[in-house]
Amino acid sequence: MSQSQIRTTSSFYLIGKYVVTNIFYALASLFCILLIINLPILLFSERHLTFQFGLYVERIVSVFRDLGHLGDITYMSESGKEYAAMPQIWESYTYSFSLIASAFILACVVAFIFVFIYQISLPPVKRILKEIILIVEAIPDVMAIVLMQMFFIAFYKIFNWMPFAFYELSGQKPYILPILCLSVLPIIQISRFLMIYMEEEEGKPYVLLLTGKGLGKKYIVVVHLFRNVMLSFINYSKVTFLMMISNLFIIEFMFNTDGIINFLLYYGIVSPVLSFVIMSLMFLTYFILISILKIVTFKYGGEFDA
Amino acid sequence: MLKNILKSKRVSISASILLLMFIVSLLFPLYESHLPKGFKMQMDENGTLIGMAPFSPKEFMPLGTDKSGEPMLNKVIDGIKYTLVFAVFVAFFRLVFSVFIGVSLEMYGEKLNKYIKKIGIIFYCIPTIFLAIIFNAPMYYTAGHGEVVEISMQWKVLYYQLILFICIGIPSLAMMISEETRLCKRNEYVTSSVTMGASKWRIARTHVWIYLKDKLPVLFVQQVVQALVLFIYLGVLGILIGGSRSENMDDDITKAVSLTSELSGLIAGSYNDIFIAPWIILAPLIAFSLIIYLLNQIVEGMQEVLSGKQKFKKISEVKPKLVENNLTAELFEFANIKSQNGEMQ
Repeated sequence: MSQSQIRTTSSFYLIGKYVVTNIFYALASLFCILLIINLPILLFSERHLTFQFGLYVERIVSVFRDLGHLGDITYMSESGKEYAAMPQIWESYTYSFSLIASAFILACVVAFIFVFIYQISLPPVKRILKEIILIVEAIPDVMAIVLMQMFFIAFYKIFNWMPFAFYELSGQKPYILPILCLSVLPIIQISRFLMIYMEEEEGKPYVLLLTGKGLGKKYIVVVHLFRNVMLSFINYSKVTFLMMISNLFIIEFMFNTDGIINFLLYYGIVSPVLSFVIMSLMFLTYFILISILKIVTFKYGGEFDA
Repeated sequence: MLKNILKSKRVSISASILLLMFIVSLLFPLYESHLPKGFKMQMDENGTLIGMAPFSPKEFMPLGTDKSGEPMLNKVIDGIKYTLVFAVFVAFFRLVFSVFIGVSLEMYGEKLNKYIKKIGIIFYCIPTIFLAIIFNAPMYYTAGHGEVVEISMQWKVLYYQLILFICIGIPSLAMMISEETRLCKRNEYVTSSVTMGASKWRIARTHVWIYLKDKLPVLFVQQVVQALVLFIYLGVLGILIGGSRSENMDDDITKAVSLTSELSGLIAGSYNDIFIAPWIILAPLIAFSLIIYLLNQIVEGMQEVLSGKQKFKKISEVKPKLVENNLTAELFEFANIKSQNGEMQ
């Protein structure tokens, strides 16, 4: 066997082992989620601290029993009618995560363009841009959403024309405004991260060599710096993704969208099965995502941490 | 290190502004009567009605009034102290417990920590806001209109909520700190002191603590920011710190009013007013963003100091300290020298 063959077989073995152990960990994590979100019934009753172990076990067993026939789970709407939960959950889940995915892509594009401009500008401009980022970073997302809503209302008042749906109305789902709001924080986070890493990367000797060869700054930034920062960026994108999930909480509430979070807030909290299903959907998305990212980055020199 | 941090301009200026804000807010009851009072109806000279609350910032300087005619400025100034105290309290105890748990997990339970780390992803994945909501529900208290609230009840809710906010932040922070501890343990000086027979307690006390000590101020300020963001989120979702009172507004609409007159309580009831009177919700949010901006500046300054990017004085400007010399010959005794008598001592 040649050297490369050995490497591929061993990497296949490593990836397979990683996947198998990860399935085990995913199941354990799901069980932990179940234990955690049902903790209130163990600890409280009638506004007093207690310890009701029997009720707790009963609750968990009942959740398992309900999970056996997922199709039969129902939720009570505000008008008092019961609906089957399953297709509804799936629909709102795809909607919410399409929001997150498109907001993330938008944030990446904007942040990379911003960092490109930052990199090719002169030092005094750089300092100003850095301060601007610091100021914008301090604006809480709630305020950003409020300002954006106000802006579009003013826009509508002046031009009497609205380019997109504002709220959930008659089955028409709002996409553009929530995506814009959801991408505000990631843009800042990603650009800050890229700014720091690019500065570190710029000090490396190969950049000096490239400049010595007569290559332009723009070319170096686009081709070499971006490519070399990519691996750390992929590792970092997990953090951004998590932040976006908690950000989604507030955005869905404020836009009153038909997403997974609003479903959780209105119907999920009262029913342990539904909240477990929704939390585990969110967890599994994240978990599968980072597992895939790890396998992808492994090919380009990443490592599985033991 | 702390000295250097305080010397940094960013840190000292923003910290002093924050302190000033806190003191201004603390002394609010003293000068409350001197501030312009709000009114619900505005009359002109003839006694005809020309305006009703809420007044916009244009009509009532600087921040406008809310629906019952109270100036937002007073409310915001009054609220800042509570919010700051709660956030600092939560952040401090989060840090204390996480350092304790994180370091001891990594030092004494390495094998256990490996598995905890794998499963601990769930603590990043379940948003803290969700945990805050489900754990808040059993102890939350909403008083009716005009109902007398017992002080002990209010304190109970407040204590419980603060402990809850501390607890939900601990797992992820503790995992982060145990990761830092693991990095520290890889250093050569630590491994060599292990081979020389240092106990785990000694390594934790000397090496790990010194390694962590520099990072803790940054973590602390970041935790304060996180606590503030959590308060804002809870405010939007209508969960107030220290319980709420549902007050009847004009037309059958009830509004949750904070019992502690804390900043996020101002956001809570007024989210629906955004289209009519956006300043009601913007005023507390501006205060929040100002506080978060100052805290971010402090973090930035600290990181500049830690990474050594901060400008220090040139060596030529630093005056060498003169040590006064009080040593005299009488303090010394020479060995093996013949004394004046000519005998060996």
